[in-house]
Amino acid sequence: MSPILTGVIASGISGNLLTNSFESIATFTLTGNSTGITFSSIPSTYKHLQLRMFLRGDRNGGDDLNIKFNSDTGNNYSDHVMGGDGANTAPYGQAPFGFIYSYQGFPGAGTATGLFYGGIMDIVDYQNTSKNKTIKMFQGYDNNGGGNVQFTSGSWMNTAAINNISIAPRYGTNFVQYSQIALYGIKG
Amino acid sequence: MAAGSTYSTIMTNTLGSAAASYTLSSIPSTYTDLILVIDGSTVSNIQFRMRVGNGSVDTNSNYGGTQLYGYATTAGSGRETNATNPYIGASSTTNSTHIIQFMNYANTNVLKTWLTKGGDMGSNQIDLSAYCWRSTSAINTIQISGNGGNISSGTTFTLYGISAA
Repeated sequence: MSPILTGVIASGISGNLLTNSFESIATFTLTGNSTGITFSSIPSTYKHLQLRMFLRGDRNGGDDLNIKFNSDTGNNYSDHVMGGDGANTAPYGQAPFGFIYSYQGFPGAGTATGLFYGGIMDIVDYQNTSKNKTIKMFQGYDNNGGGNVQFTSGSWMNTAAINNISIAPRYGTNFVQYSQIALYGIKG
Repeated sequence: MAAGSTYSTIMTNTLGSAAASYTLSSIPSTYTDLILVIDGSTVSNIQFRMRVGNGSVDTNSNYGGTQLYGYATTAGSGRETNATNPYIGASSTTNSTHIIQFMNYANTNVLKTWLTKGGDMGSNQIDLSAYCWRSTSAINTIQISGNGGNISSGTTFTLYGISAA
């Protein structure tokens, strides 16, 4: 069971049992365009990490997400996705690949003004140097007749502890104003 | 990087009797995201639905959503456009759990996006969805209802707030 889900259920029983177990590490909130966001010097004191993403781009029709760990640009990533576009289910996967990938992930120019994507990525056991790193991600947006929802499992095939996460539009365009990415640490 | 306690219970309630709907109101605007956990059932095999708003819930056709679902050996995707009472997930007399993540719910510069995942024991259905309320108003009211039937007594609603650094 995901530690996030365990914590939610525990908090629902009585009081706030999760105090100090789920901590905000850093948040980027854009006041203008940005070609990407990087979390560096991530502390090693947590058990798991969670990224909460609220994104919009300026590329016409939207863009894909490009997520890398520790500045690794090699083909050391893989992912499998189950997605829905409102009419069809769209399972796909790729391995090896150069980054964690979200196909047609977030909205851009041509979608409703003020429309943003939501995405939550859990990075499990990010400090464990005996394991490759596993992620799961739940994401999507709706443009009232367009959009998608996706559930992803992925892997960074490297046993190094994660201390750096970069998130960028795949095709080199920008995230726009009000986009936000927040990094949280979960204690185990 | 700064760190701080950030995951707080805002409110929790258990229905003492079956009801057509349950409303969470006066939601503070001081968090970044909200998480609503619904755990319970309905008096018949129907659906949970939800409206949101500022002061009062929006009953107009200002909602849209993209869905991914699965039951038994079937997987599918659907969509709601110009909806007036958007879908959360399947529900039955057995038990279902749904978790709704409201992203940047109080930001008055953006439309409101939420992600929902859940499952129902009775219908053996899982639901994932992304929805949008086409309003820049901050969400401070959430109404959950059963689509065509009552929410069962004993159903719990717990609202959490997440604060970013």
